[in-house]
Amino acid sequence: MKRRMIAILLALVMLFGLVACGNNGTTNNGGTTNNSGEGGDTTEPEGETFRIGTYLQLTGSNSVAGNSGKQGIELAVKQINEQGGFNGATVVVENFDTQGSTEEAVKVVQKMLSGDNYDAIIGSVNSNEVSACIGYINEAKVYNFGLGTSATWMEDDSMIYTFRASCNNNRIAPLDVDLIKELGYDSVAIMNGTDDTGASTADAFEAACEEKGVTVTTRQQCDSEDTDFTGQISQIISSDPDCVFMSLIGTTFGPFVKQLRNSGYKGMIGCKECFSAEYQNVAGGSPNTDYIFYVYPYVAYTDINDCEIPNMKAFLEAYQAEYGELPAHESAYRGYDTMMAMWEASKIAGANDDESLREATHQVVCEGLGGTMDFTDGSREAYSDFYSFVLVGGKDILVEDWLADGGYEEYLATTGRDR
Amino acid sequence: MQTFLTLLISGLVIGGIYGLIALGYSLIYRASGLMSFAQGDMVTLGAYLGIFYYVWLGLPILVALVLTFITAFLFGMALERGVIRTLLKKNVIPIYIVLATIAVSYIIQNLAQAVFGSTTQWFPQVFPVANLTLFGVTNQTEAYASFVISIILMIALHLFMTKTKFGTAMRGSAMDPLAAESCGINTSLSTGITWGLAASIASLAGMMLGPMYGVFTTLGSTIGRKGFAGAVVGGYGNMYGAMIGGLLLGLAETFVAGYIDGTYKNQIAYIILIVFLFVKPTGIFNEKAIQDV
Amino acid sequence: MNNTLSTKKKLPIGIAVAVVVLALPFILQLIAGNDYSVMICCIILVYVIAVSGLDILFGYSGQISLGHAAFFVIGAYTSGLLNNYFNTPLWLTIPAGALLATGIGALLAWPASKLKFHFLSLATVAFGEIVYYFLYVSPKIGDSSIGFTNDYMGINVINIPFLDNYTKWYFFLLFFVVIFLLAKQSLIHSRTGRAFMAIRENTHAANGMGVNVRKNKIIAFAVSAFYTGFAGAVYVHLIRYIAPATAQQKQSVLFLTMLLFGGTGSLVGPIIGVIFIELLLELIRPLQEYQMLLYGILLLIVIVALPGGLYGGVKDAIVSLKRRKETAKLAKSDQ
Repeated sequence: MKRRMIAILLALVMLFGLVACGNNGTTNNGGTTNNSGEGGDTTEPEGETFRIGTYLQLTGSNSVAGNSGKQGIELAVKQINEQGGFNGATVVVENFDTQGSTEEAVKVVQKMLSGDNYDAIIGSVNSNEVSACIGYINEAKVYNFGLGTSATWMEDDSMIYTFRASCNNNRIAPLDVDLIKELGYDSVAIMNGTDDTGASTADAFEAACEEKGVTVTTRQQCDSEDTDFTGQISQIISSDPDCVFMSLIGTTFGPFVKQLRNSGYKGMIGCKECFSAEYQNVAGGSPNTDYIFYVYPYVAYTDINDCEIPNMKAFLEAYQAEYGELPAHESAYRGYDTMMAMWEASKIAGANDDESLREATHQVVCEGLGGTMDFTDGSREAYSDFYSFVLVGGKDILVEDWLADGGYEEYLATTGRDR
Repeated sequence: MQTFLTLLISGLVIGGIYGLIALGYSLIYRASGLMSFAQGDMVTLGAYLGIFYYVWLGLPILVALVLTFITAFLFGMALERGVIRTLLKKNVIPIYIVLATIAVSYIIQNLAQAVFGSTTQWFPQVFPVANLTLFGVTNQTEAYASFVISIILMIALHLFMTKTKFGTAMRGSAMDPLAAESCGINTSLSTGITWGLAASIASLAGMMLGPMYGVFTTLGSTIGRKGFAGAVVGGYGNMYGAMIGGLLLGLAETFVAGYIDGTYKNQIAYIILIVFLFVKPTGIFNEKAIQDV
Repeated sequence: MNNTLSTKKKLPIGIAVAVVVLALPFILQLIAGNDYSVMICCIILVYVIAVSGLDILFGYSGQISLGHAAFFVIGAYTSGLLNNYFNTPLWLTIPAGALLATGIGALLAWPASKLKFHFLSLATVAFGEIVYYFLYVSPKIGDSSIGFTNDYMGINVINIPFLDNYTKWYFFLLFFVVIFLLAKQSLIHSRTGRAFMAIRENTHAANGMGVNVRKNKIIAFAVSAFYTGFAGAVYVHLIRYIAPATAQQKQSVLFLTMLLFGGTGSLVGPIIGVIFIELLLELIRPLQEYQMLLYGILLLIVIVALPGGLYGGVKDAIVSLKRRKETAKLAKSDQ
C-alpha cells in the first residue's frame, strides 16, 4: 500500500518534472535546445536565434483566421531566414493555441513572459484576446505586434511596445460612410456581432454616420455563434434603409448575406472587411454576393491571375507553393506584413533588443501587401491609405473603376432598385 | 403582417431543427433513461459525413443521405457499445456517462478540424431549386425540407415506438431491463439501436444545416445545447413533445429577435429551460416516463 | 486511507508532504529557472479550492452541477470590479465575491433542490449559460474602453502590490487552501456533513430519519458556491483577467473532470485530480491545434478505464491487495 502511495507521488513528481523541463527546454536560448515537444514544426537552428512567441486561436469556431495568420507568419519567417534573418539571428517561431478563450490567451502570454526568453510576441487575430494581453506584454517591455483589426486596443497610448501592421477598423469606418455618401445614400442599417471587433467597428461607424449626416435606421446585434438572423433581418427590412452595413465575424457572414438576400433585399451591403471566398461560398455566390462593398487594404483572392499587384502576386505564389492553396482568410496577409515590418525594424535598428526594435519601428516605411506600410506618424499603425472595392460576379472591382464603367447604372437596372 | 408571416415561417423552420435534436434526446431518454451531451455534435458529424460522401466522393445526394444515415447510425451504436455499455456494466454513477458523452463531443469537434481543417466547408445545395417562396416568404429549399423531414421523423418514430414489436421491446427494456430481459428481449441490442437512431436523426439535421450555414466544427454545439430546452418544454422523453417543444423554442427565439432585440435571442432558450425545470419539469405533455423529478 | 494508515506512519508522511509543499516554489525555480511553473502551482491551488467546493456538493451531498464555473465567474467579477472601479481593498472584495456567489447559489438551490440527477445537471447548465449572457450584454462600467463587463472586453484587473510575484502568491494561496480544506473536513464530520451523506445515500431514508432534506441540500449548494466563488475571487487577481465565456459549460466540465478524476467524497481526491489534469493540460499544450483532440481522447479513456477516479482506483487496489494478503495469511494459518 505504501508502495502505491509512493507510486502516485512519483508519478506526480514525474509529471511536474516533465512540465518543468519542457518549459525549460523551450525557453532556453540557443545552444542545444530540446525542441521535441514542439510538434516538430521548427527545426533547431545553429547559432544565434530570435525567438518569437505567438498566441493564436488554432482550434474552435473561427479558428480559420488564426491558422491563416500562423501560415502567413511562418511563410515570412522562412523567407526572412533565407535572407539572413534578423541581423544574422535565425528567427524561430513557437505557436500557442488560445482555443478562442481570452483567459487561455492571458495564461499563454503569462507563460511566455514568465519564461522571459521570448524576443517578441505576436498575436492574436481576435482583438479581444489582444486587449486582454497587451497590458502584461507592455509591463514586461517585450516587443509586440497585434494582428486584430479592432481600434480598441490601440487607443491606449501607454502601450508603447505594441504595434500593428494590419488595419484599424476605426480608420476605415469613416471611409465606409464617405463611400455611402458618394453613392448618394443617406440612410443605413447596421448589423453587428457582439464580439470586440464587430461591436467596436459598429460603434465607430455609427459615430461617423452621425457626424457626416447619414441616418442610421436601425442597429441590430447577434451573437458570434448565431446562424439564424431572420428576426434581425426583418427589423432591418421594415426600417427600409438605403443600404446595409455589416460588422460581423467569421461564420456569421455567409448565412447573414444569404438570408438577407432571401428576404428580398437586393441593395448594396457594406462590409467591415473584405468578403473572403469562404464567406462567398456559404452565402451562395453570385448574385447573392453581388454589390457588397468594402474599404480595406487587402482583397481576398481566389485566383492568382486576378492579382495585378506584383508583391501580392509574389506572396500568393510563394504561399501556394508552400501550402498548396491560397490563403483561406486574409489574416495570412496580416501575419506576413507583421513579420516584414518587424524585419524592416531590425534592419534599421541593427540590433535585436526590445528597446532598439521599438524605436526603429517608428522609422519603418516599406511596401506591404496592402500598399505602403508607414509607421512614421507615431500612431504605431502601418496603414492609413485604403482602397474601396465592390464585389460583382465574384470579382473585387475598385469602386472608382466600377462607377466609371457604368457599374452603378447596371446595378440599378439588374436589381430594379431606385437607390 | 408580412413581417409576422416571415418570422412565423422562419421560426417554424429553425424550430424544426431544434425539434430533431430534442427528438434524439427524448429517444435516448425513453429507451435508456440516460442523457447524451454529444447530440449537437452528431449534427456536426452528419454535416461532415455529408461533405465526405456528397462532395469528396461525388455520390448522388440520395446515396450520400442514406450513407450518412447509416454511418451515423453505426457511430451511435459503436458509442453505445464501446463506451456507454462498458460504463453501465461497471455500474458507475450516471455522471460518468454524461462526462463520457462530453468527451465524445470534444473528440468529434477536434477530429473534424484535424481531418477537414478549420476553414468553413462549403456544402453545395441539395435540391435543384435554391429557394422556395411560400406565402410571400422566401427561404432556402433545405430549410423547408428540414421542417418536413422533422415532422415525418416524429410521426415515424412515434409509430415505431408504440406500434411495432421492436419499439415496445425498446420501451420495455428502458422501463425495467431485468424484466424485459426475462421476457426474452435483447435489451443490450435495443439500447444500442436507440443510440444509433438518435445519432442518425441528428446527422440528417446536419445534412440540412450544411447547405444553409456552411459546415464548421461548432455547427451543432449551440443548437445541441438549446435543443435541451425543446425537449424539456415538450416533456422529456415524449416524441410529440420534443417536436412541439422545439417548434415553440424556435418561434420564441425568432419573435424575440424580430420584435424586441436580437441580443437577447440566445438567452431565451436557457430562460425557458430553467423556468420549465423549476415550474413544470414534466413539460406541456406531462410526460410520465420521467424518473428524474 | 485514514483507516488503513496508522497514526504512527502518518506523521512522517505528513511532515514529508509539508516540507515538499513548502519548498516547492523554490525547487521549481531552481529546476526550470523561471516563474511559470510556480504560476501553474498557483492555478492548481485556486482550482483545489474550487473543486473541493464541488466535492462538497457532489461528492458528499450527491447533487450534480454542470454550472459551477458560473459561481467561479460571479466571485471573480464581483471582486475584480469592486477592486478596479471602487478601489475596495482585497480583504473586502474577495469575501464579497464569495458571499455573492453563496447567495446566488442558495437562491438557485431553492427551486433546484427538488430536481434529480439529469434534470439538475440541465438546470445548472442553463444557469451557467444565463450568467454568461447576463455578463455578455451587461452595460459598460466607466468610460474607459478597457473594463466593460462585455464579452468583447472581459475585465483586466490591476496588480496587487503586496503580491508582486508568483512565489508570494503561492504562499498566500496555500494559506487559504489549508484553511478551506480544514473547514471542509470539520464540516464533513459535523452533523450537517452526516446529513449530506445520508441524503447522498438515500434521500427517502434520510427524510425518514428526520433530516431536513431540502434545507440541507440548499446548505450544501451554498457552501459549495462559497468555495468556488472564493476561488474565482482570488483567481481574478492572480490571472488579472476574467471573461464571461468562463461561465460556460467548458470550465464547469473541467472542474467536474478534475473532481471525478481524483475521486469524489474525499480530502485528497480533488487535490490529486486538480494536479493531474492541470499538469496534463500543460504537457499537451505544445501540440497546439491537436491538444484538445488528445485531451478528449484521454478523458474518454480515463472515464471508461478508471471510473472510480485515480484515488478510488488506488483505494480499490489497496483493498484487494489487503484481501489477498489476508487470504494468503489465512491459507498459511490453515496449513
